[in-house]
Amino acid sequence: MLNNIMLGQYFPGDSVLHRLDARVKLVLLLLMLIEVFVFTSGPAYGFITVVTGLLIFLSGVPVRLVLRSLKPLWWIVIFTFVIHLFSHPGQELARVWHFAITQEGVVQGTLISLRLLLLILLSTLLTFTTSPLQLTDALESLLAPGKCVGMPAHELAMMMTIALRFIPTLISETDKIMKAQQSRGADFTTGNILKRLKNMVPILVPLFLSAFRRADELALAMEARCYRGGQGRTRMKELRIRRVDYWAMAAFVVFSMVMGVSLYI
Amino acid sequence: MAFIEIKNLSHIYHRGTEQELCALDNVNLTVEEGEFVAVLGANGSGKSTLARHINGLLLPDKGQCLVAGLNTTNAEELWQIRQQVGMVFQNPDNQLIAGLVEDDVAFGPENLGMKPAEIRRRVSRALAAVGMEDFRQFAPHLLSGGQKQRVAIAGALAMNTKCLILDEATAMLDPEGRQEVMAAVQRLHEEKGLTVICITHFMDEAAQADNVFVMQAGHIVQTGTPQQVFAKAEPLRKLGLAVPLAVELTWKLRQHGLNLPQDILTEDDLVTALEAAYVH
Repeated sequence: MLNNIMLGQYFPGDSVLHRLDARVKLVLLLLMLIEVFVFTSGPAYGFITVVTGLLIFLSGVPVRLVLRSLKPLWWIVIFTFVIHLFSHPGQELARVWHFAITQEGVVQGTLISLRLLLLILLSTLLTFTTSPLQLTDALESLLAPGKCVGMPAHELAMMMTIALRFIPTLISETDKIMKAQQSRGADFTTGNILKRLKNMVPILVPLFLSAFRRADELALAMEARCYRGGQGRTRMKELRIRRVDYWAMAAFVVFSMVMGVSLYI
Repeated sequence: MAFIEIKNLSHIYHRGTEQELCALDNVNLTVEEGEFVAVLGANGSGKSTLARHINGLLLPDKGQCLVAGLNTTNAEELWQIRQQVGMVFQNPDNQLIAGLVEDDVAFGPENLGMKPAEIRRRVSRALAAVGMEDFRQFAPHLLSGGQKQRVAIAGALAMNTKCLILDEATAMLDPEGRQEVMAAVQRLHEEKGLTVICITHFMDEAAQADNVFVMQAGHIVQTGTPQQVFAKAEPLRKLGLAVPLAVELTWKLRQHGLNLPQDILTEDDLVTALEAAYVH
């Protein structure tokens, strides 16, 4: 269960998407996600799906790997689809017990599920093609204007770097603690939700303790390596807007125009 | 002047409370540049505290600690000291900061404010020096313990450290990982003249050193070459330390009248000596 989580999985490569400036990628992704929400017509979704497919192809990330990132979310997509299938009044196609499947339901269900899939696919594509450090550097750089009103941009970015770095470590640790507790007779799989939550306490307490100890040691290691905050720090991978980034922005403008036109089809 | 000079150093934890503990009491120690030194001692003997003084993570309560003539109590010089003295800690998981090996190695030079091109050069050089250049793009959690520790060593090398402190850096590794880390350290010591301070309770690691310091309750109780220190097994045993297996075995064989030299430290040496003396 725990190793299905694909958060922050970077797939090293040298594709166009890998070479794009992380800030550009982040902002364009956000805009694209907004467009997914705004343009909700059939043709628009068809077009976005094609573009997403093209992006996956461009990224050079194996399709199998991209699809695997959907795995933990399949049931949400299916659940959404089924709910929509039954909940739209309109022309009846079939009837299951009291509930009617309508044509509008099928259309809406398909569109909404597609929207979910696109959101997930596009976001994972960002984490697949951007190393965690680039991502947090981009965040720091985008938040930098906030520094003059006291926003701790560097600290936030450093926290995110460390969080992304330690997610896999803490997941495997949770797994280990669970097994240790299970071997001593703990039960995490039966009983109602309240009981199960209560049974989680013997996992959470050691997990938190060890996380604090890790934090302490990590702080020491960072200090030993001359870390003294963001002041005077340089970067090995400097963020720089290059020609490929301008092309990406231009492509995005074209994409948005097509999306706009699709509203009138 | 020696590279590291510790004079009358004392350190007291939790001063003024009930748990007051004198971890280091009037310790004197010198390490020359390019020397390989091992510090032995049971748990709580003060060896990690000593290590933390050498790169200024802890500051002396009494006495002083000089590294290349710089004083750890001087806030200006502290960062130069940390740049020159790299540290590798015990837990391989808790000292890598970034989500990619190359980004992690770059962390030190980035903190020093170097230019990107120079950082890149240093990262490549440091990773090659520990034989990890093929893992540049790996996430730390995909590496073995020994590999993580080698990345941590590379992180220190990338700052151009002159001295590497291994604070029980192999204690959490399997035998294979231990061997690969110690081999990398030995190679750096021999080829680049890196000063190494190895804090350990593995006797065979101490046997590789030029000099051994044995600590007990905040004092240095024995100093000398591995041969000199291990020659007296009894005092070591009293401190809860065992001599290396090969030394112990040699000693017992000699008691039974076998003709073996006294300065054998490793199993390989013992085998060679036995073959020379008894296999025709």
